[in-house]
Amino acid sequence: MNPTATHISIDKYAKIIFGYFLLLYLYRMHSGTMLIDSYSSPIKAAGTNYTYWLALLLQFPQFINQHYLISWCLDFGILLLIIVCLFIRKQRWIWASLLLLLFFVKCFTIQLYACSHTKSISCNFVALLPLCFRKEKNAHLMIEFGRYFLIYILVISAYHKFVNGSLQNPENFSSILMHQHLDLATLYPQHISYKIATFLIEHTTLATFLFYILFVTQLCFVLGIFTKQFDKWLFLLLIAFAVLTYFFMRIYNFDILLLGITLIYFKE
Amino acid sequence: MNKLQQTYFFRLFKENKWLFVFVLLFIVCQHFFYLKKNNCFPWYVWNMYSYPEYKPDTLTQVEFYIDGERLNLAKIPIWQEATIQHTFNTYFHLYQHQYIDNQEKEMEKIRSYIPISSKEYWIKAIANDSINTKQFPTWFINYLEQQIVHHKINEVTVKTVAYKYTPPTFSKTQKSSTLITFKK
Repeated sequence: MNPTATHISIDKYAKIIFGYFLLLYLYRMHSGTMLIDSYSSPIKAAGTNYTYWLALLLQFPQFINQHYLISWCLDFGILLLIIVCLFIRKQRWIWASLLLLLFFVKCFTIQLYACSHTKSISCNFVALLPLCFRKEKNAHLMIEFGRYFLIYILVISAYHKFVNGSLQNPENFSSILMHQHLDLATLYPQHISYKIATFLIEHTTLATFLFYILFVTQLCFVLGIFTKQFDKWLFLLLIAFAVLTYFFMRIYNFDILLLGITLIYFKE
Repeated sequence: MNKLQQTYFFRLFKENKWLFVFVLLFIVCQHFFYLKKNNCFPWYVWNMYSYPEYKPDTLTQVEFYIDGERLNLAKIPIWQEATIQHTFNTYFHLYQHQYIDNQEKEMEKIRSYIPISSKEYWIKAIANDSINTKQFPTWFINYLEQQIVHHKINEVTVKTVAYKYTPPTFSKTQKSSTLITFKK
């Protein structure tokens, strides 16, 4: 190991990325996020997502949705490719490029036919992209781009909370929790998320304080624009953000952690 | 190296012009879709939970009843819950509008960019047609049978039910209605 290096080795970085991506993919398999699970769905929803329009014009989501064997091959081919990328070192960029292509073919298809679009898939895209470059120098530059993209996502989220008015509304977080947990309240009131939510719905001041903490957490990432000195702390904040929003609000924010790995790539 | 030369863009420009152009285009697209307030992969508007929400008098939710028993959405993975709710919402919207997809209205916004000769192809590829949409109830029952409950289903009833928050819990109000029933 070079003690004067400004970043960890690309190989180590790739192992962390693909290792975590494998965990995310296994969770997706468990959650029914496979093409074979929603095979032959008769309706689709592209909204105004023009990239999805382009995919539909190229006809590949329609084709995959109608062929069970192709869906199966994609679902398990991607799993195989992640494992290959995790252990192979030589020419990993070729396998990573194939993985990126197939993963997004799959994501587009499943999100179109499940009529559910998630923003966090862009984090997967930007996190995997650097490992598709043959030259280490280019991969390094794209990892840095990924780091700035992550900072952008969090800082702009904080900015919107301020300009759109949720931050100035004292009952905002309590109201969000009421909307978010109605199904738990009527179906599974002993759920830990609901128990936390009922306490916060009753204690509006505490809920507002927690919403401010969420805002400040996101705003802290602005430091990352000026220095890499606090990256490890920001990474810990990001883990706390993903875990706590899952427990408090039942939001799946674990894809953003994949992009968060860019924060542990650079040394101070 | 001075401070300007240390910046990311300067280094990127110096080391790889193609990557510099790629990153620049990415940023331009991100800003374009941000100004348009349009979510387009991978350029999204990151404004979740930013608009004020207020405590309502009553809250309404869509509930699914399988052979009379309510489906416990809270005990299935989030993605399956989203698939059930969002596919149903998309179908029900089409059902209420005589299976005419408002996706065609969205296409009108960029009509001038679509060549007239290929407009029909665009609509066929992007919008839902009535023939496929009418197959939804069968697919939906199969999905629930195979992925969720793992037994045969005779009928699925979808209702909207209103609840009032009476601390420390939610209680059902009289305002509930059946939206639709799918029979096998």
